[in-house]
Amino acid sequence: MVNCEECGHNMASVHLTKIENNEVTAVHLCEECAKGKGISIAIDPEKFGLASMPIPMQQAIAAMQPQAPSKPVLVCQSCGTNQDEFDKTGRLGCASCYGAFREQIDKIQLRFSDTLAYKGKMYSRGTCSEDETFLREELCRAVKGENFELAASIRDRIKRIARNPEAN
Amino acid sequence: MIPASVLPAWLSGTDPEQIVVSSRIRLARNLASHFFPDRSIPAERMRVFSEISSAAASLPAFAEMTCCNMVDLSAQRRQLLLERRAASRKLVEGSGDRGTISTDNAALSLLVNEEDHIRIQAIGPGLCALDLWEHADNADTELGDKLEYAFEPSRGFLTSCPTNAGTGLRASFLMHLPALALTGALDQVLAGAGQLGFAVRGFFGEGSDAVGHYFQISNRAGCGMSEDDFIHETALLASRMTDYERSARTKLFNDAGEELAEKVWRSIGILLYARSLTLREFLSLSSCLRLGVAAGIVPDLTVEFLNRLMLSSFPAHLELAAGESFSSENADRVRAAMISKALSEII
Ligand SMILES: [Zn+2]
Ligand SMILES: [Zn+2]
Repeated sequence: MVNCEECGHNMASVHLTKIENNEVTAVHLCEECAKGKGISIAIDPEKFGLASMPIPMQQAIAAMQPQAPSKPVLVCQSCGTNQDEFDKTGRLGCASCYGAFREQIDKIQLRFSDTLAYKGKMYSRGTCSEDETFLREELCRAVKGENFELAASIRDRIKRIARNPEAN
Repeated sequence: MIPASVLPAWLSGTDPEQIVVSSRIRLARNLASHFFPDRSIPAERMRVFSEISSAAASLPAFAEMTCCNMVDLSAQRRQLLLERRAASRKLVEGSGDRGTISTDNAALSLLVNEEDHIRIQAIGPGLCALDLWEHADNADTELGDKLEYAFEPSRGFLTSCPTNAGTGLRASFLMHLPALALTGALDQVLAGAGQLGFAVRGFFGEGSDAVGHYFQISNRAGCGMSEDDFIHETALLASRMTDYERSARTKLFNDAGEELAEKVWRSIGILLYARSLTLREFLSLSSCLRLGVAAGIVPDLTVEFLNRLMLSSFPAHLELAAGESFSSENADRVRAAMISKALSEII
């Protein structure tokens, strides 16, 4: 948490990047001082059109970089965990990752076990899907709080549910 | 020094031999409808925590339990849970909504939003893994009725780390192996355990090193065998290592009894008169004292006393007893004074 650079006592909730004479500086202001400077920050998520939310510039540029044309990159369609992340951390992001990274998971399990067969206790209860209403509420909250990185990731999750209802 | 009545279950053993100090059964579970904790957003962690704690609150098995969110606890309180083994290092050092639902003596705990949404763990003194499995299994069945676990019939329970997937079970045993260390056979025994496919860790589990000749051994795989078989195999290793340690002790007592007694009494001398003791120093000196108890070298000393002394020496317990927090140098002085006082009362 940073204090407002203008008044010095309120919590800064508006974070701007200022470019002057080729120098990039970050400016942190509270809502009041931002208004005083004529910076409008009111966002109504209803009217805002969540799907058209601007992607942070850096991400947009990163997305335009040509992908290395080697092997196809596996991505979990449900949580977005990709091959790189899985290789680096050894951790999966959700239950659906077990479908996305099946072959690799089998190999890992066979390092410690002779067989992949499951011989443990049984469990029966239906699985349920991601809670879209909950995610939409959180998206609104993230946008209101100007937490755009978080908002972008939640929006991706909502998109994946729409695209791929079976994956959950 | 801490009274015996507040010792956690895993330190409540009184067997003077104490080669297997404690047993632990852990089951990893996740909720089907949420991303695994490391992937989930803060509000989702909060929601998972409340779903799990309200499910637990409605179940008889958890009636006596206290729910702690790490976010609400001071660093000292979190450390206290770690020292009692009601929490793990990852849980204590993590961020966001996460915590424990646990009995006072930490015999049964749920670790929430650690690496997985739920880790059910049962801990007890000595070699008692099958009883612990029964407790953990019952708690798991009850909880699984209220919640929706991520489960595939062909793969079993799905976990954040694929090596846990399947049963999600880890059976582990905290072993005290001083005689193997003193006779130089320890490395070979531990390497053997590794070659048989078991994991060997230090006192506080993952990432901790070997101090005071304590080691935790556990199974590695999650699939390919039933829970019972995993437990039997790991318990079999624990009892085989117990046999090795036992024969090393016999050899030591017979061939080098005088030297051992000298070593034990010198350790007592340091513990009685040192003005400053690190936890590490204390653990390695008390390791020698434990061996002295097993050999009957110091008749007034009991395992119960040493267990109370050990818990009282841990940083958060030390601070709690004193009602203030210390720098590490001060903690070393306070620890030395506490140990000296407690020992001088019985010796
Ligand atoms: Zn201001
Ligand atoms: Zn996934």
